[in-house]
Amino acid sequence: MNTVREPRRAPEPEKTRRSEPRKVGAWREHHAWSMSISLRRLGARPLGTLLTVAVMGVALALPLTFYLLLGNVQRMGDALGRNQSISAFMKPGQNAGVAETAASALRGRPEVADIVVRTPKDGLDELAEVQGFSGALQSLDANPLPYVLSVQPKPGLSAEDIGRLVDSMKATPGVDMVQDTGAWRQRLDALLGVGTRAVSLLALLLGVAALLVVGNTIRVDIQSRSAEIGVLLLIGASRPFVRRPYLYAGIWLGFLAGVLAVALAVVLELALAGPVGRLAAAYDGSVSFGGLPAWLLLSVPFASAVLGWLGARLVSARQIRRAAAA
Amino acid sequence: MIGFDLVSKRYEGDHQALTDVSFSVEAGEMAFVTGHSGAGKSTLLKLLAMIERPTNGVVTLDGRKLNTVRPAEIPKIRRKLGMVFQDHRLLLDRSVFANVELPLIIAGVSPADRGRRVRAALEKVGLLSYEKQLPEALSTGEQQRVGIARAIVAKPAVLIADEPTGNLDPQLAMEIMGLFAEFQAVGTAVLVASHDLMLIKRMKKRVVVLDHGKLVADVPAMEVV
Repeated sequence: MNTVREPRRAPEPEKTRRSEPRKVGAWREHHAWSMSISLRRLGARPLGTLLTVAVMGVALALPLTFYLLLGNVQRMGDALGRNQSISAFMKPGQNAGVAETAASALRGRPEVADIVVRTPKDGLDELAEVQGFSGALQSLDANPLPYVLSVQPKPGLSAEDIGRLVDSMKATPGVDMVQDTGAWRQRLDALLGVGTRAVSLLALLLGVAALLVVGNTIRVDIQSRSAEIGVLLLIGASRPFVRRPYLYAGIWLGFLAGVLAVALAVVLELALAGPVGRLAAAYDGSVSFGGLPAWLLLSVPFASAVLGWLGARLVSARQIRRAAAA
Repeated sequence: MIGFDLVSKRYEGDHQALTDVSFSVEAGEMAFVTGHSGAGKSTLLKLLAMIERPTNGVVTLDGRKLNTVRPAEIPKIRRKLGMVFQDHRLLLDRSVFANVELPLIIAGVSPADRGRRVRAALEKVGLLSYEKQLPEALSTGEQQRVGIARAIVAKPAVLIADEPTGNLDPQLAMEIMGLFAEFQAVGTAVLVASHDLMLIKRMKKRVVVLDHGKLVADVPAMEVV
């Protein structure tokens, strides 16, 4: 076997060992290149990008809207239930001292905001103001009404807290019966709890759907670029280098979808503000409309970008491996 | 620089593509690998590019045994190679400049150096004025020259080409080969797979002949007539 050696000077191949600052610079430049390439690719197929962003955006806007509605129902409940008190009726014949002792005992409880002791005379006067009762009351020999402790619970108490307070009121010496006029509020709270859980699950499901939408978009994109991927790998690109633009594409799609979701939620918020304002007027302004919190609106695009990245990450490694093999 | 030591390659389905092939190409040397269709020319280049692994034997590149290279190291090894393909494999949605720039981006060359080196490579292949064009706007010969510029821009130690003149007329083919000879002259090891015997004779370079996967002749440059 002949081997011919032609006298030439040694070649100077591209240096593969790089200094640390250059490594960092190269890393930064790789990312900048991947970001710009991914944006250019998304811009090159505007309809596909728009549809993906729209599907994701609507999917993410739904839980935001439900969250907005639930929050406002909660506010409405808070506003309407603000003056709801729990009444403890003392046993007939109990005197003012017993009523005051019971009130003092209950004032020490953490759930209690305020207690008003209403005498039998106060009760009779109230009844007398009710049209049609004054004649009947004049025929009474004595005041049959008991002392009543009107207990105002602290705002924001859970159903369990209210339940404990009612139990302690029932157990207070001298108390005959307890009437919780705010029981409807507990049922509303329970319903809101169900709603909150449902919205959380819905958000989870729609988040997964958004992730799959991005994943599928990236999968199709990689499939359509398998020849390009093959070339890049042949000229020395590593798989992370090839993969990076697709991960950035996922991030952009997620971020844009998050921005769209926030925009849709804000539009819905504005659309609801009018009717809720009219409702507030009907309740003497005690009900006010609450929008989505700023922290949520700001965090949705970023959380959505993470979803997009995750969706792209899930499919890209496998798809690039397939494209390389093809 | 390039070494094949008793290299054999058997594909699935029992197809024996290469059998005990041994030869080497040194720095500053240019060699043609020729033979009929299916002789094993492309397989030889695929082994060098680590697209395939040999069934037996050792392939070396710049003193490194390619058989033992881990998958994660393959990109680094490939950066030492410049590859030219018959179908040039350009990215059609990117400009000539962007195509030639790719190996430098991958190698982590700074943007300022990239611009200078891409223009130098394009000037070398006579396409400097086409840098903003898309490949589709160029002729087949011009596209092939863009492929060559991409292969040489990172100053690879080894240049391999698989039927680089397959789609070109004889005059363009000679121009392309002239370019390869220039890279050989600056110390690059050049290995070209081609079945164009007329072209090979005119180039008067070393010729390795394969037949049914076996090396049947290794003709030194001075003996090519």
